[in-house]
Amino acid sequence: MITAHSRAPRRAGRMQVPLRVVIVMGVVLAIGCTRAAGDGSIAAIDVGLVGLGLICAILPDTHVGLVIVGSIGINWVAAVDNPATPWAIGVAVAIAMFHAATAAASVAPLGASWTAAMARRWSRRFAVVAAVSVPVWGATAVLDRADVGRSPALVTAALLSLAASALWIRHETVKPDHRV
Amino acid sequence: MKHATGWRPTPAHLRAVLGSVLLCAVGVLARRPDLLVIVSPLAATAVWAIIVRPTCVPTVTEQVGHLTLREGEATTCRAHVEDPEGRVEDVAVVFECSEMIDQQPEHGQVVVSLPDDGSEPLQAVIRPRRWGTHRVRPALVVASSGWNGFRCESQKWSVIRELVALPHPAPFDATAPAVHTPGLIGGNRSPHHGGGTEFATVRPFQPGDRLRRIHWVESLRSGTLHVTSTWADHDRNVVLLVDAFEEVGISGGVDGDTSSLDIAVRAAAAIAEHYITSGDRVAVVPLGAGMARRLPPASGRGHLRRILEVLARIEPADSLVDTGRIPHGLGRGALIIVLSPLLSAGSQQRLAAIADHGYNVVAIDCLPALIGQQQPPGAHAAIAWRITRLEREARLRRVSAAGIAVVPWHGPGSLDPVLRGLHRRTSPSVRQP
Repeated sequence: MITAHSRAPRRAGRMQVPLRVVIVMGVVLAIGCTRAAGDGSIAAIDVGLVGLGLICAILPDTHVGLVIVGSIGINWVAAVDNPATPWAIGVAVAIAMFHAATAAASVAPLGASWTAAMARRWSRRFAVVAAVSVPVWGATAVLDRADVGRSPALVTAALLSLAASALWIRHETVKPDHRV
Repeated sequence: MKHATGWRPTPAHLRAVLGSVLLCAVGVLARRPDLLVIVSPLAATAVWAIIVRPTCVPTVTEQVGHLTLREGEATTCRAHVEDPEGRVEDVAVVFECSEMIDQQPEHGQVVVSLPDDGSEPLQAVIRPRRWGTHRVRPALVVASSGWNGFRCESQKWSVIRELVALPHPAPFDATAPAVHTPGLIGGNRSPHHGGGTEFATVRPFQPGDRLRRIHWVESLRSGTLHVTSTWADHDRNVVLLVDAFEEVGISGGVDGDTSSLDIAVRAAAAIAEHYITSGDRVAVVPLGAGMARRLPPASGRGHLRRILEVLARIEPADSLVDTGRIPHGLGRGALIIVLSPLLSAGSQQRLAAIADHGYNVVAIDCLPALIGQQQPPGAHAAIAWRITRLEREARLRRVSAAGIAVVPWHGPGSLDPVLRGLHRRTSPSVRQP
């Protein structure tokens, strides 16, 4: 969030409050899907996640969101035993919702009103990335049925491709700009 | 024109990258492919943000419509973002102004989608609520790329602009004739006979009278030469002494409450405008007013503009003590108008000293009426304020007893009774205008 202004606005701009509601709703939806997929959830962790979600709604431009994403993932692994459950799509959509709303809320200061074009573009893109989880779920379901998940070669290949991706992302992220 | 600081990854991008990499690693190591499903949207946004990452730094231009305007008038602050690459998506601008400037939208915060909305809506209407010099800081312009993955901010060391809000003159008019001044030309009738245009009387011929002034009808009737005499014309020399040693009350701007300095400055602006419009000469002498310099007497619209700018730069003195000295070079025969809340002994001493020097002096009481009546909170403050008021009233009585007129500011006609009295006092013969 852009916080250069010394005075806090008395009134939030258009779309700013709904975005913050969506941030919290994303966290709550992820918790709900995790609880629906497995019975190993711990209530205290869920409450903590909602609390972090509220903090993130107030301070969207911080690293609290990373803690939330990591916690949702770990909570899922701990609470759910079935790797092929379709509830994973629900959690994926919830994380997409949370991430998109948090990123969108930090684009502008609280007092600025969003334009309709911005709302349309962000909604379209959210729908696209949320839909990515469906084919990925299909692929993992096939892999799970084929029972190739425990193959050492596949794990090694996955780790190598992950490392390569991380290196590429790092290179692209920190590359220098040029001025016109 | 200024460049932005460069594209930097945002917390949102780091969340997408680190979240997806870490959870993918956990998923692979723990043999949990469902974690890949969960982080797939996050990974998609990370890759998307990297693919559309801009490489050119945008150029930001800022513009303020008018840097000099009247208080209460509005102008526009604009920011223009030039993105040669076309990869900038959302642009947020925060226009930062001082507290006495209203902004629309509130707090000057604007955001647009640059490809869809363009740079045009990146503007805010600013309206100074009070006269004076206001600082308009450089706008903070923040451009974001797709998925808010990367962000660049405009540099913050740009020049701070100074917006001068000229005082809005209070309504004022004066119909009283001029007091005695030594000028020989001008648009006002002098109390002396002389070479003017306005008829005074018919009198016997004296050596030096012009032949074209001979009144033949009276001369034939009486048998001695008579001439038509006229009143001389002259200009007025008005000196406005604005007392900025103390400011009483809290200014709420042009639409709100007024402080004593608000009343003094707006009244001075109104008086100056009135007399300059009449062709008279007006000087301004700010007392204890910080950076505001004095202006010598002159006439004309350009001089009025200079007067308003001097008045706009008046700031109340914080540490100066009013010693009651009168400024030098007030001009012989000038009408001195002192605008002061008359709370200090120094202001009373100055009034008395000006009158002792033989000037025609009028004091305008600028203490806000509401402040004069209200009781401050707290027992001690109330007693102190009561003592101050009693002292002030005693001083005002002494000033009035010394023959100095003190009038409250009421706008049109405020000075008429006093100026008529001064005119009669300075006239060589008693006559009704």
